[in-house]
Amino acid sequence: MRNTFAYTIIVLLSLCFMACEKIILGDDEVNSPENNFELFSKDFKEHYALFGVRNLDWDSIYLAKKPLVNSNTNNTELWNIFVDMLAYLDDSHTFIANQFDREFFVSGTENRVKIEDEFSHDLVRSKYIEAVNTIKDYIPEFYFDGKIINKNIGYIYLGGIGLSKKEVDIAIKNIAGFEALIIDIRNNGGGDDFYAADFANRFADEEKVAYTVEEKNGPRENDFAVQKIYSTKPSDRERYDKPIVVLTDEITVSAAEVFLLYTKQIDDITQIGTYTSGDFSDTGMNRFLPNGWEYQMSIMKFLTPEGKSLDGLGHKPDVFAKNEISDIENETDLVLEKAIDYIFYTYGIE
Amino acid sequence: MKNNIKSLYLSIALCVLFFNKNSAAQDVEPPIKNKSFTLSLGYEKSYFKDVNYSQLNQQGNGAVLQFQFQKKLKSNAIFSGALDLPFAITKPKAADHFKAIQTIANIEIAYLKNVSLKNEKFQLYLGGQYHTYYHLVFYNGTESFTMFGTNGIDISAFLNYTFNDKQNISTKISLPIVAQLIRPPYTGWDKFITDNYQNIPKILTRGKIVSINKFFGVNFDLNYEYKYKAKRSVLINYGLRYYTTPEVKKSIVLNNQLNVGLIFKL
Repeated sequence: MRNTFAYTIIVLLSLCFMACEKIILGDDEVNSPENNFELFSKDFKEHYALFGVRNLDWDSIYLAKKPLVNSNTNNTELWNIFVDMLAYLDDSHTFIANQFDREFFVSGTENRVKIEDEFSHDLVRSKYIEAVNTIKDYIPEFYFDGKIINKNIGYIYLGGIGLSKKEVDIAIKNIAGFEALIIDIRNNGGGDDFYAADFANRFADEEKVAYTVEEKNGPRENDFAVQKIYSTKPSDRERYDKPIVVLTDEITVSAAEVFLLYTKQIDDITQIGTYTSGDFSDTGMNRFLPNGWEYQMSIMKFLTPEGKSLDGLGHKPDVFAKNEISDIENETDLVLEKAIDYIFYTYGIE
Repeated sequence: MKNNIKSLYLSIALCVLFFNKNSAAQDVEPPIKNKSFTLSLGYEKSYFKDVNYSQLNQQGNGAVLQFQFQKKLKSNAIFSGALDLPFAITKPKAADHFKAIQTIANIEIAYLKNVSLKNEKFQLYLGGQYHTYYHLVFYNGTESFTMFGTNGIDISAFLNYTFNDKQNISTKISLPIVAQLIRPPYTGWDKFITDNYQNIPKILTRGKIVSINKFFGVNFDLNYEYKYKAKRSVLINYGLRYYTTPEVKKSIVLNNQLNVGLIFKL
């Protein structure tokens, strides 16, 4: 009797340890081309937040691609189908990765390399600014400040949005004595909206609504949570209240564009450059497929105070200026020169 | 299934009421007053499927650190506290590179009243406990994460069987009745998390009060104790924590743990 009891306990415990998966969790997802395609398509349909504001019809691309997927579809073919579907979204917050074959595709970045080459921080440092300070020592080319040579104009370059409050304090102190400031966010890959807000608030002089956010909260296209409001709020730390020009390009993206949502509400800040990327949303969590691929997508709508989405459009510059690669090769940064001229002609500062 | 769960809850609730009434009349055992502290280490095997995180079934293997404190009160009731800290690497069968870090915190503070039984070798205790349970999974930093958390009240039963002076076996089962249920948002991430990333407790306590219509859980422990000194015992413990909820999307978590520890009578 005692032995029976002991054996029963041992068998039960062994079951719990070794064989519970199917009993408790149910069948796992099948790793077949058809099922990977269905999971991927359905996940985007139910979670991607920007079909409406970008005027996209996901069902149409799903129906167009579905006949191409069957049990004989190989990995390369399936990968290309997913890449086509993501390219349709034209959203750089959306990617798919295949770690087995080290493949990675980010939507909406076809011209990225060309635009990267239309800017050179080496050129800025060598030709246009002096008294250069690196703000983050371990990535000196990413965050630095200085003075425009022979001008009473400060300069801050941000390659990302990730300066701590203390680092912003130091940068603002460095340029505090100049009559105008150029903030360069060309080639800025974004970062954290929290840092974007802190940096922008160093220039704000009143509280104004900067943008609202609506988060996807259900499977239907129009399922969104209640709006959250984000406003400028004058900082109680180091501040700067003289004329500012912000330089942008087409890969000024994400938190850098959120920074601009704030600066658009602040007087005497002018955007010079090109339209920005037009990708505002926070990204969702990485999602996983049975074939070992993973992907990510945009999950929020960012709206201007007027209720307009700039997703897919970007911020329109107040003054248009653009470099060609040949300009950089000829050691000329037309955008920066335009900003210096603008400050002189608008404010008489030189 | 739902009817079975309701029946289980109803049975335990009726037992608690019945035996509590009965024990008041029959409670004639002399009070025993003692305290003990237990420190255990163990192995954890877990299974989970959280559609908020992934559609794929996940399996985890790891280690457990467990602390327990128990005090027998003058009334012969038991006051106990327990903290389990399992830590594991979890992954789906699909791909090793989807392996994620899984951390669990299980805290129980129980008050259990003695119920007299005719058989002297059995001691039965019934009561309730405050129970906090967090199951957190982080993939590649926070590239993906999910959480299942409850802070609530369980009804509990503890049964001890004494073989002889040196050996006894005991089991405890707890069922949550009401709890604050903490789950990630629909897309796994939202502005509340980014806006409060420096205030982790705020993120970990964002939830809603739910009852058994919104979640179900079972906590089960089986203990074998061997006394090798007057104030020292060896403990072998098997623990099972099972939770499931359809909120926000379906989530099932099962943790098995096998622990070996030392009990210090204080």
